[in-house]
Amino acid sequence: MRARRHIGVLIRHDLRYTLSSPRGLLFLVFFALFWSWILVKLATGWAAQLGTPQAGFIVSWIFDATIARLVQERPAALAAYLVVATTLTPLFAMLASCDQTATDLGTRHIRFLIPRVGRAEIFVARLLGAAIVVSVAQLLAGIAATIVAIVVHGGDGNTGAIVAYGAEVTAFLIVYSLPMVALMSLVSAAMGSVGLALLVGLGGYAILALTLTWMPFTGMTATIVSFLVPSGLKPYLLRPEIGPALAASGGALAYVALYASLGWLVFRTRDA
Amino acid sequence: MSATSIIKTEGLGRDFGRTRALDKIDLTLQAGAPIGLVGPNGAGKTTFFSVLCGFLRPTRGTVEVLGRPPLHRDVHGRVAILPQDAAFVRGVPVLSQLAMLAELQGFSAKAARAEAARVLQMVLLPDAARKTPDMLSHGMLKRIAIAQAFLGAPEVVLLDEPTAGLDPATASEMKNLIRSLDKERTFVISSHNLQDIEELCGSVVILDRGKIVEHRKVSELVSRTSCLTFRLESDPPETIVAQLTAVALVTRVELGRPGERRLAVHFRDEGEGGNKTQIAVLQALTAAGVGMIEMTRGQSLQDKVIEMTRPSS
Repeated sequence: MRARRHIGVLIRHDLRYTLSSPRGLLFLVFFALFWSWILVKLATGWAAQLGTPQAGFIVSWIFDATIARLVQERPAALAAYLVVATTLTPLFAMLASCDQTATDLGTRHIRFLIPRVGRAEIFVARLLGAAIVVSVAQLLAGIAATIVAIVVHGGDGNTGAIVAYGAEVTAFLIVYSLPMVALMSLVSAAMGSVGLALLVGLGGYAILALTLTWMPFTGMTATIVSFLVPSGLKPYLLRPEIGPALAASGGALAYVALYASLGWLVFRTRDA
Repeated sequence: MSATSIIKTEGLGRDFGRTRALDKIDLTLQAGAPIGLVGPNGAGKTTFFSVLCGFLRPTRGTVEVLGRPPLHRDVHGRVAILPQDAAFVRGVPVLSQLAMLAELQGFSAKAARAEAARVLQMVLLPDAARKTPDMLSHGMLKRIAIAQAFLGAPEVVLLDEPTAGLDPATASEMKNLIRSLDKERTFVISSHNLQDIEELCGSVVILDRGKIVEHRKVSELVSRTSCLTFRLESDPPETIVAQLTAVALVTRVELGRPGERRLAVHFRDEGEGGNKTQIAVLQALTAAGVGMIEMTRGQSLQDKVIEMTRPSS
């Protein structure tokens, strides 16, 4: 009971700080500007063009046939939003959650907290605080994308289906962003510095992503390496069917458990 | 553990790589008058506080605070610390930060703000409530850090260098604050300002190179009746030791290290004889041409600590 109260207090102050701190505002402004630009472009022509057979051919050529099928079978605006979001979610999620325990450790602010609350409560509160910020940002972007899809495709009397798919996409993207938040709980606890955590998190992720893209892995090696980070789940989220996406969501939650456990292990044992 | 023991360590040790910061610390501190923790730089004072609060884990041995391990939930809010180098969150008003810490100690949101305002008043900074840490001076931040240690009613308050960086008037106010509260809680004060320790504390623990050198009452360490300490115009000649030892009842003569210009003369305090001895000591110094700046009855804690933590001793 006391632990839950402590976590509640820490999260409340954490969120207030995030919304007023330069770093939090920078993320929110960057996130909002980027999605505003993309969604305005989708609303003013891109989405309509993506639904044509010619565009399907180009998408199939640039990406693959599955994504082309997704764009053709689902509302194109939301499908395009999903494709862009799955690519950029790791970046945004890492940006939003690179702090967590890093500032506490780096400035030794944690020394004001430890005599009052348990380390576990601090760790959980910081993780949940970051997860809430990322999830709310994803939720707002998802709602905006759904509104754009209704504006672009809603004339066909399929508004209900668009809203349902919008909810599905938003939920998957929120779940897909959570492993990144958990990964940053590990990195921030290990680094003890916001800048270093962001550099190591993004740098490590970029190196792995580039390695996966450019190195000619085959068979088992490729499978193992691609699943070191949650981006291995991306192809399953981009299928038009809901089944693989649900399985990918379960996989994402497993990553959350793994990364958060490792993060806790580091945070629990390191000097404050 | 006895009923009034607040801190108990057995074989406590903490290493940083190959450096042994704390070594075989066996210590029991009782509730009551403030306790000083002193020693030269690198003695292990801050490390000791950090282990007591659970910031650092011991490498060896055990530690109990109020009968529990440092991170135990029963200890939360009952032990407070003024950490030496912790920073407040930038950009957030100090009242909000103190209120959050008070909430973590069990206050309701409204009561926490009142409690935060109360402790700010205690450290004479009520006007700082709405200011953010970046708008405050180092000394003001120190006072706010002191304020957070007084939130609620902690039974043990660990203060790491409470007067460092404060101007003399504010330092005096902080000492008065500690004095006014030392009946309600037990203070453990680490400081390089040994005059502060002498003024505030009933007993003192002297640490040197990670080990306890002494743990005694301050009054026992700074005996006022059987020693004279001199501050001199220049370092005395070595021959002065023999000249003073020849004086009746003088038991020991200590010369300061080169450059310290200090001399301590210990003697057996035998009433009238003791007074005669003091006069004889003064005459011997005058005869030897040793110029004096100041004479103190007894030995200051500072002199005692310097003596006990000399590398050669």
